[in-house]
Amino acid sequence: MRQAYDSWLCGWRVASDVALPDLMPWTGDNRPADLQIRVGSVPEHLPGAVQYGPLIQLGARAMCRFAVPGVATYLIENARTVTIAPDSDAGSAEVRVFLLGTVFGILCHQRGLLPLHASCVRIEDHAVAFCGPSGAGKSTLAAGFESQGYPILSDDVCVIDTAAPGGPVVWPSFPRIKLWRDAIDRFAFSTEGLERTRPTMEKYQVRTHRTFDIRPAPLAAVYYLRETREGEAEGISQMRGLTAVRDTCNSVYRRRLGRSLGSPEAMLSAVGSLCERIPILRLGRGRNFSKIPSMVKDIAGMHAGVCL
Amino acid sequence: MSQPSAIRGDCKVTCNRKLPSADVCGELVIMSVENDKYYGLDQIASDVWRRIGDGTCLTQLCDEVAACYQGPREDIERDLLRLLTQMRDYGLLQIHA
Repeated sequence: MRQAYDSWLCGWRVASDVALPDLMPWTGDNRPADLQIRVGSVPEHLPGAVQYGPLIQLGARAMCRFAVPGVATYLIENARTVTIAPDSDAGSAEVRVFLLGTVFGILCHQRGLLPLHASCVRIEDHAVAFCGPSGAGKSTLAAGFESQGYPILSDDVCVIDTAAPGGPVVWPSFPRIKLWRDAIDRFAFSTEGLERTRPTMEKYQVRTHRTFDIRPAPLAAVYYLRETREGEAEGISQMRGLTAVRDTCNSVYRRRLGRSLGSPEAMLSAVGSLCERIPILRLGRGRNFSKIPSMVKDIAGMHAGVCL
Repeated sequence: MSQPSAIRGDCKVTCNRKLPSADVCGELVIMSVENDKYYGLDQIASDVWRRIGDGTCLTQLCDEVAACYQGPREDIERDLLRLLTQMRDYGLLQIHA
């Protein structure tokens, strides 16, 4: 049966029963869908499954069941099909948040791509990613780039093909950035008509489709963003060897789950190859975001005209 | 708790091959999945790790390293013993008495 919605997600053609307004419409060739999203029932238990934490079952033949109480249960099969059993409205913002969060991360791991918990922007023809712990300011910094005319390639999950010929490549995901209310005010986005990520949170989904560009971009650098401690200098420093690999591994989206879906060897090998080919940099920032415009200028200046 | 025994010259030493590793610009990073930790070996320690491979003994390793690096043999032997002990304590090596 032909599915109602035809969308684009990091180069995949996505056929879906539910509207996915976060994604760009498919404008490519007439190929069959790379990913199908259906609404249907999901079994309570997968045969022979291993329980991974309280919410996830890992079954045979690349089957994975992910349950979010009060929102939906998702069944991922062979990295090609996702069945959503919603607790209420299948197209709600909450259902899409987990679909384009953890479920998307699972699909990336299953497809041998490296998803980093990072925001990513395009500077000229290159991609620059910003990792860091939650609250480090990844999305706020990306919004700072967007406000200066640099398109956002992804927010939260940055999809990297480390095995691409010619070096690691970032596949843009979808034109949306999640921002807290104070960041929205800072960059003068309007909250009118914006969906909240969760009904009780002052965090909104801001659409960035006007500047979104679906072309994959070679990755020029990964920055590890963190707030400086007292006495520590702000600014950029190069990370090498162990610290580069460790901090990048720790930035892999759903890394422990990813190891279980693939193998620890494959993940370390992908990160190692990234660290060998791409500068991994530490970006220390002060407590407030008043310096974002100058950070954007400095970083953009470093990567403008970069030829790898 | 009993102290781990000292590494003697004739003890067989092998790398723990269960641990994934990545070579980054000549330096090895080894991951312990069990305790979610990463261990970095500098270029000399990485070279020692490769020489140990699937098995050698301290005496043989010391001969090989002394032939490649300058320095008094007793210093090399002492440094190697310290490195191997540390690697064993982190679970990177297996020592067979």
